[in-house]
Amino acid sequence: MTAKKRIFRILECILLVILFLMFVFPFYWTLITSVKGLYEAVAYPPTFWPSEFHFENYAEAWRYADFAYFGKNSIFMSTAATAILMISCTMAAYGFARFEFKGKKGLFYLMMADIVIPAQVIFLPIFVMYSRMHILNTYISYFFLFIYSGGVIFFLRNAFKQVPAELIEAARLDGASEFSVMFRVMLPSVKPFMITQIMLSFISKWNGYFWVQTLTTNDHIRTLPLAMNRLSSLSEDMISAWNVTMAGNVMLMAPLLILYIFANRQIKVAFIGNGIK
Amino acid sequence: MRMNERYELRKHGKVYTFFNKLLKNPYFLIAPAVIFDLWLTIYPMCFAVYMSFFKWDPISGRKKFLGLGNFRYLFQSADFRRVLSNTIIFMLAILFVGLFLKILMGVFLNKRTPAHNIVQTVSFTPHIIASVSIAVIFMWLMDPNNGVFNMALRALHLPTSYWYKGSESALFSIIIVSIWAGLGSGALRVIAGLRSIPEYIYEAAKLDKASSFKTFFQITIPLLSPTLLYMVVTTTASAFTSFDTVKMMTNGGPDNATNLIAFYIYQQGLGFNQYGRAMAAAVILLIISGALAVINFTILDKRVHYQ
Repeated sequence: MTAKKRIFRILECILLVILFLMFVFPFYWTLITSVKGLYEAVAYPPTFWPSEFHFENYAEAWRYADFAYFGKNSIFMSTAATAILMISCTMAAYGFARFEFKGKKGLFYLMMADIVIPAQVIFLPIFVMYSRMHILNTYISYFFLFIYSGGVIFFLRNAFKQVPAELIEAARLDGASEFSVMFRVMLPSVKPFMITQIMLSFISKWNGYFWVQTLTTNDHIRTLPLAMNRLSSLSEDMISAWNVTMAGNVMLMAPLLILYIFANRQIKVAFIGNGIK
Repeated sequence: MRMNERYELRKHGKVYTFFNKLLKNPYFLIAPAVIFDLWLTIYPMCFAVYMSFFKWDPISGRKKFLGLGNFRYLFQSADFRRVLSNTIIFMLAILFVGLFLKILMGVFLNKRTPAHNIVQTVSFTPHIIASVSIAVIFMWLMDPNNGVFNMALRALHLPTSYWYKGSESALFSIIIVSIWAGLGSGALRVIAGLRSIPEYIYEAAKLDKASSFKTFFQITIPLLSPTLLYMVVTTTASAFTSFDTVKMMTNGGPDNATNLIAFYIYQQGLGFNQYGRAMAAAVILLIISGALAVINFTILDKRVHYQ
């Protein structure tokens, strides 16, 4: 019986190591390629540790894909879009959660349509509208897309609904204005939910590819994922310069990977829900 | 009490009073979201349906009513049939192979030791980085000349593959990337589902001397079914909207081998300026998504009754 158990234990360890390698190796290989020389990167047999470090790959990727410009765009657009989204969705969620009004149900279903309709169905009509309005390739056209989100409104509405009505009543009895109710009672009680949504929104905007790919015709409002287009087919001396490509890729992933190292628990909970704790 | 409020308002002046009133008005609160939802989701959807009945040249702006002509064209064109069959193969693969692996991995990783935790955490990494990054990593790993996959195959004296650059293996490569990228988050979802099953049910099964095999199939799987059904629907939906990996790795090629419906709409619309055909394909996608949404909502209803 103990022998059988020991075999199971060994098998379990082997499987854990295989799974670990399966998910770590691609990232390890990316990182290691990014500091190899041009010829070493494509050498056979491959080397698992670079013979010499070529950090200039990073400078080259930075320069070639104009990381300064696209990075600035990425930071500005992700932050601003998240801020806009949170303000308008918090307002809407608060309205749907706290008040009874005519047409509430219908309007709420209308918002939920956003969850059902894929971006791939509506991007072309939006492209046509934007080009008629001459706002293609403008920051404002990007922010318009993120003024509402059915998913965020749904999530925050449920959060607001969990705030006990007695709490609001008590605040009103103390003579609190609507402002005080909103900023001193409601928002503090849903703070953790809002932080979750801010995190999710920022990650999805930072990684976002589809909208910036389809609704732009030049580089003006493109972000870092689009900069990878320039790097993915880079070559030097007729050899694909994978080391430079990977250096660029590392720079694209680094902010989120660092965030994930420090806040992996919170991020997992944000995506999957509390059940994972 | 009312005195108190009045005093507070006076203290802050007219602007404060004005906004204070607005905060009580639900129509004001929901207005931005509703207006932009109407403008950038509802209206474009109606526009897409309307345009799918026209032949439309975006450069001259000329429109011609075709009725169901665009749909007839799509179903008669070999390209679109290829796209549909690609999408269905892709969907079935990530649904059945992917879901099976997710369940296995979730059940295996559902322990609270540090080692299990680390593997859970690293397997979730693909979910938080850009799909573009994942695509670029696999373009390098799967590179036919210098990629590490082919090097490994060569070292083992196995036949190498053209991976995403070969018309035979390209769809397979995209499927591998998608399954790899979704495995960790799916496993985590399964773990969350497993941990929501109350402990006393297992204790009762133990008292009844049920075998672990029987426990798994008669207790775990049925109680996990809401999670699994939810995963089935979201995975199916993601198969129909999968765009980034295809655009980055293969551009739909070689020879339409990896052209999926989401990419086809993009290609017809912005690539070939065939707006009418693109919209017709979009309408087909819309019908599929609508059907999935109906299934999803009925499941969600069931899920509420379950507990």
